[in-house]
This record gives sequence, structure tokens and C-alpha cells, in this order.
Amino acid sequence: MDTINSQSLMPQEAYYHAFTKPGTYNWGFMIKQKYVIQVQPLPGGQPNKQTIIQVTFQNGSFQIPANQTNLSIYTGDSVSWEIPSNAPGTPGYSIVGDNGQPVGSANYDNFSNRSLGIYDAFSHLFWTPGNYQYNVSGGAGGVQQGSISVLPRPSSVPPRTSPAVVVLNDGATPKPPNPDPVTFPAGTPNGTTVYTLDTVIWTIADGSKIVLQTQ
Amino acid sequence: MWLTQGHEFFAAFSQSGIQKLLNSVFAARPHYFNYATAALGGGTTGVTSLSPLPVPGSASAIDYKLNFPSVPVIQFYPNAAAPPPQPTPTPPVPPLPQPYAWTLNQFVIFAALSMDVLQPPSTLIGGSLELWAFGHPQLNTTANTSTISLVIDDIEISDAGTLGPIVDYVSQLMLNGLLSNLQIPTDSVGQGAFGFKLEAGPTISSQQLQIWGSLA
Amino acid sequence: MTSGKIQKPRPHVGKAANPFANVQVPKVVPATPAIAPASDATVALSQDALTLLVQQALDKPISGQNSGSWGPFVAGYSLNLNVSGGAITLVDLGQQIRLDSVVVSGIINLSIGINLGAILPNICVPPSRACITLFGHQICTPQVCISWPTISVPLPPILVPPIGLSVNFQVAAQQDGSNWDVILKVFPFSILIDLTPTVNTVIDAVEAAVRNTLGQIPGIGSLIDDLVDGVLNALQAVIDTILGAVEDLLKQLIDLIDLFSPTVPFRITQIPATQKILPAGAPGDAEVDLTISSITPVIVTPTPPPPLPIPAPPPELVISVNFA
Repeated sequence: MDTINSQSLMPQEAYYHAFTKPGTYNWGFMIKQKYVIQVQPLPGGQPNKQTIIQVTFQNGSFQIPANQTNLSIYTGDSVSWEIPSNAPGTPGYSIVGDNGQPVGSANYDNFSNRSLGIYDAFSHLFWTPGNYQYNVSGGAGGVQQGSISVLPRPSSVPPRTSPAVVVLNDGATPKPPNPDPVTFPAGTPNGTTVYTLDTVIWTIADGSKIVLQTQ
Repeated sequence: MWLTQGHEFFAAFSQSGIQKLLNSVFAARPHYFNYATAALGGGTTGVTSLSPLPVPGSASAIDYKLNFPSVPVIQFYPNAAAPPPQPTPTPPVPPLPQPYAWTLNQFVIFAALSMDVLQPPSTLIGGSLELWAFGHPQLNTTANTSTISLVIDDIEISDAGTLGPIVDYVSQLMLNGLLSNLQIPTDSVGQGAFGFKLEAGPTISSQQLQIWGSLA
Repeated sequence: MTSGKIQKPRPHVGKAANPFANVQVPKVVPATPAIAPASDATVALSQDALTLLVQQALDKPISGQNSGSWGPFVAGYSLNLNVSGGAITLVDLGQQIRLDSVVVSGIINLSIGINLGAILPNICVPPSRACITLFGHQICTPQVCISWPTISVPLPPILVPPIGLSVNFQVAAQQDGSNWDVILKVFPFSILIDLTPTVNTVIDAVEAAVRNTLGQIPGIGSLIDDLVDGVLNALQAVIDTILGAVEDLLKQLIDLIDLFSPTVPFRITQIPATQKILPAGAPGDAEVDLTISSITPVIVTPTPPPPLPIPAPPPELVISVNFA
């Protein structure tokens, strides 16, 4: 069975953060480091886009491409972190960053997969079948529970073009994960079942400091 | 000829081979073939010393010398024909003296002897003799080696006359000195890739000194 | 009559009397005069003796090893061989020595390493990113591209299919420093080895190892058959060459055996060129040597006389030695 812990990112997982405030954010692996994301106001009419940072683990440390150490993006854009291969021996990692403003002040903005906040997302590609039970915790709404049943993929089912989406709501008005159990939406070609090699993405509709973990 | 005769290994020295050995000894060890009293050179290099013969009733003694002017000739059974040519000139070998005849496993050494007696002060009175030595091959085994030696059974000397005992004595010296040192190792033509165990022989036949064995 | 040392002098009674008249000396006349032998010394070896020498030379274990790489495949192989048997026939006509019934058998230890990454296609799951619109913007999830490991396939020990050898030799004499050697010179010969039955063993073992390794990649599921086929196709292209290299090593090892080596002839016997019969002693006692002037080995069929047994014995190797 796969093990899922949103606080520790593995190769088949990704963390997504949408930047809503302009500013200069410093970020790093496990602790805030020297990588920079500059967020500027979005020009009118320009669509949002996703910047994908492909992380590699070499010589005992996590690396990113040189041309991504200082990113320039716009408000509403998102940045995701992923390790794009199943290289054996890669340890789990976490992303931590903030905009340098005093902690607790109105302008302070931070992001981390260790503490998922509103509009953050976390995805997992399932390798092994099984009945997964998971907890959503840390938010104001206490612990929510969800499940997902992953079946072995028949060779007749081609790869999905989009992930299965689960909306988490662990804020002032907590709700169970939606949908629960996790399935693809009705009407999805080739059925609603989640198979091995399918991706599920959990997105935070409300709440902060959220952790998702299989039991 | 079936040389191995059912054994694994056969080795032989032929008459010509042993003769070459005798030729070498003749050249290298002259003292086996030259004997004299001191007055005639006995005791010098290459000449074995003899004591002068006392003259009964006199204080003087007879000085003499005995030597083999040419290398002795060895013949193996069944040598009934003339021997092959020798490298050094030797007198033709006469037939065996009566009543001897060739037998299996027999060798014969023939030598011409020359003898001189000193008539003082300096006259040498000379004469010549013929010597026949009959014998057979013998195997000698020690812990590590085995050798073949030629052993004398009989000596016949012709024309010795009253000097018979002297000539006999010298013949013994010569033959003992020569033959007791002439030990032919049984592996002298078989070294190298294999050791072997003697099973038959030594035998003298077909003009060869023959041994048979198996590979050790 | 005594043997050993000569008797002491006997009293002579003059020329007339024969002092040996009483001695018994057998008076036997040989039946036929023999021909004087042509050489100073002779050594003869029977066909059985040569068989024994050859069998002793062969009866030693042989081993060797090597490795090589063929594209994404690496093979390491070691051979442990036994050589046994062997029967010698001396052939008078053409002066040849024939060796039959030599059997080479043994074990091959082969292991194959495969760099799967050099064979298997770049596979990412899913084949292209899955995207969705979330909160107003396009979000695409990762592809995981599989990094293929390098695997090592041990094979069970492979028995060398027994190889029969038949070889011809010529016998010769050559001087090597201070010795004369009687040697066997081997005619070039070919060794027939057929390892094709081994091909299936290797392919089966590789398939099992690859299937096992790939099967452990989660989610590989239905992809595995095509991937395994890809590896086996790549293997098919080189398996004959790999086994050819094993056969080459086998032939090299056999060639290194003295008996079969074209460059190191097999020595039947060695005779010192100069033999010291008597060492030098006091002055007047020079060394007595026998020096060999020639050695001629010849295969001879026994001929009468004396009468030969029935059936007639096989030819002998006769080495004639002459001294200076």
C-alpha cells in the first residue's frame, strides 16, 4: 500500500501553492533558504499559470534548476514542487517559505506543505491498489476522515487526462472530504473508479495548518 | 625386433655406445692403463706405481712396466662377426680362445698388453700379451638410484709364461679400477618426463646391454 | 667362478695348462647372428606407455575466467574443466601419433548484468500530465518517469556438453640448452563446442530476473509484458555472441594444455646432452663424459625375428641416441 503524508513529499506527489499577495518570498527545503519567488500584481486580462519546479536529490541534498532559483510570477499564479521520477532512495522533503514580513502582521504571508492553507493543493499518484483510509487534521474543524479504494488498473483503461479532485474543508464550517469515498466525477470516460497509476489531488477550500495522512 | 616385449619401456646401450665410454675413460684416466715401477715412471701422473720384483738371493730388483697401448675393445653377445670400426686404431680382435664360446648375457673385453722389463742400465726388453675378460652385467640398487655395472667372471691371458702372476695382478688392477667406477645409471637415457621402475634386465643380447621397465 | 671382484692371482703352471679348464662356461652357440645395432643407445616406449604419459599430462583440472560487455549486457564467466581419457595409437605410416577418446567436461559459471535503462523505453506515468482547473487556474499534476535499475542475473551452473577430442602429433627431437628433448608436435585441430542448448537456459533466467525486478515497480501492471519482451529481444541479438565468448575461453584453455599447445610442445622425455659418468678427481683423473651427438625418434612396427605373439604388437616409439 502507498503511504501518504502531506508533510513529507515523495516522488509521486506534488505540492501546489497559489500566490495571492504581491511580494518577495524566500523559500527552501525543510527551512526557509535562499530561493526567491517575486510576486507582482497580475496585469489585466492575463490568465493565471502554474510554474512547476522539478526537484532532484543529488549528493545528499535537494536541488532545483538554476533558472528557477529566482522566479518572477503574478498574483493568482501557482507554483508546484515535484520529483518527477521514482529514483530509489529519495527521502521525503518539505517546502517552507514566507514574504519576510513580521510574523502575525497583516501583511505576513507564508506557505508550506507541512501546514496546508487555503487554495493549497497536494496530489498523490497511486502505485499500489488497496482500501486507503486517511485523516485530515490540524484545521479548526478537528479531524475529518476520508477513504479511497484503489483498484488494479485494467489494461483496457487508458490514462486519465485529469486527476480526481477532493475538496477539503476543515475551517470554521468543517465538512467531510468531498467526494468520499474518492471517485472520479460521474460521466468520466472509462468509469469513476480510481485505479493504480491515477492521480488524486486534494485541494483546501477552507482551513489552515492542515495535514493529510493515511492511517 | 619387438623392443618393449610387453613392457612399457626399453632402454639399451649398444656395444658401440659402451665402447665410446671406454674410449673416453682411456683418454681421461691413463693411470688405469699404464703401470710401472718408479724407475720406469711409476707414480707419476697417469702411471700407476708397481713394486719392483725382488730377485731371490740378490739385493737388486727387476724394474718393469705394463701398459695397454690401445683402448680395450668390448664386445657384447652375440658378437660372432667382426666388431664395428673403432675410433682409435686397435689390433684386430682375434676369435675367442678355446674352449670359450659366446653365451647370452655375456660381454668380453679384449686388450693387448705390452710389457717391458728393464735390463740395467737402460735396455728395455719388451713383449706383448693378449687378455680376455669375460663377464656379465649386474644391477646395483641403492635407496635412491640403480646402476648397471659390468662384472668380470673369468680372465684368460695368453702368452704370459712365468710372468703370469704379474700380468694377472696388473689385469686385476686395471679391470677393477675401470669397471668398479663404470657404473651406468639406469635412467641415463630416460630422464625428464617420467620416472620408471626396472622390471627385467640388465641383459646382454643382440649386442646391446638391455633393460625393461614400467613408467613410475 | 666368481662374480664381483676379480679373484686373487692364481699360481701359473706354465703356458701349457689351461687354468680355467675346470671352470664351467656354458658352450651355447646362438641360433642366428643378430644385426649390429645402428645407434650407441636406444630407448623404446610402447604405445601403452605413451598413453599413460599423455593421460597423466591431461588429468589436471583447468580453470579460467573472463568477462565482457555487449551493449547493455555485461557477462562474467568462469570455467572449471576436467580433461580425462585418451588413448594413443602409433602409426608407422606417416610417422604420426594419434590421440583419441579425450573427453573435456566441466562447469560454466555465467552471470549476466543488464543495464535496463539502456534497453527499456523512457516510460512516464501518466504518459502526459493530467491537468484540471482549480480555483480559476490550470493545475497540472506530475508525471513519474521510471528510472530502470541495473540488474544482475545469476544463472545456475551450466554443464559443458562433453567434448570429444582427437588430435594428431608428430614426434621430434630438439636441443633445448643443455638437454635434448623428445617432443610431440601437435597438428592444428579444431574443437567442436555447441553451447546452443544453453541459450534457452540463459533466456529463461534473464526473463525471470527482469520480470521479478520490473514486477516490483508499483503500478507497472500491464506494461510489464512489453517491457520484458523488449529486454529479451535485446538479449536475443547478443546471446550468441556472449556464448561465443564463453566458447572462445574454452578453446583457449584447452590450447594452453601443454599437450595441445602449438607453442609449448609436450615433452616425452629429456636426456642431458652431456652426461657425467665419472667426475674429475685427483690429477690424472679427468672427468669422463658422454656427449650426445644426435637423437632420432621413429615409430617402428615390430618385425620378426624373434617370433612375435599373435596378434602382432602395436608399433613402438624408438629413440636412437648416438654419442660423440
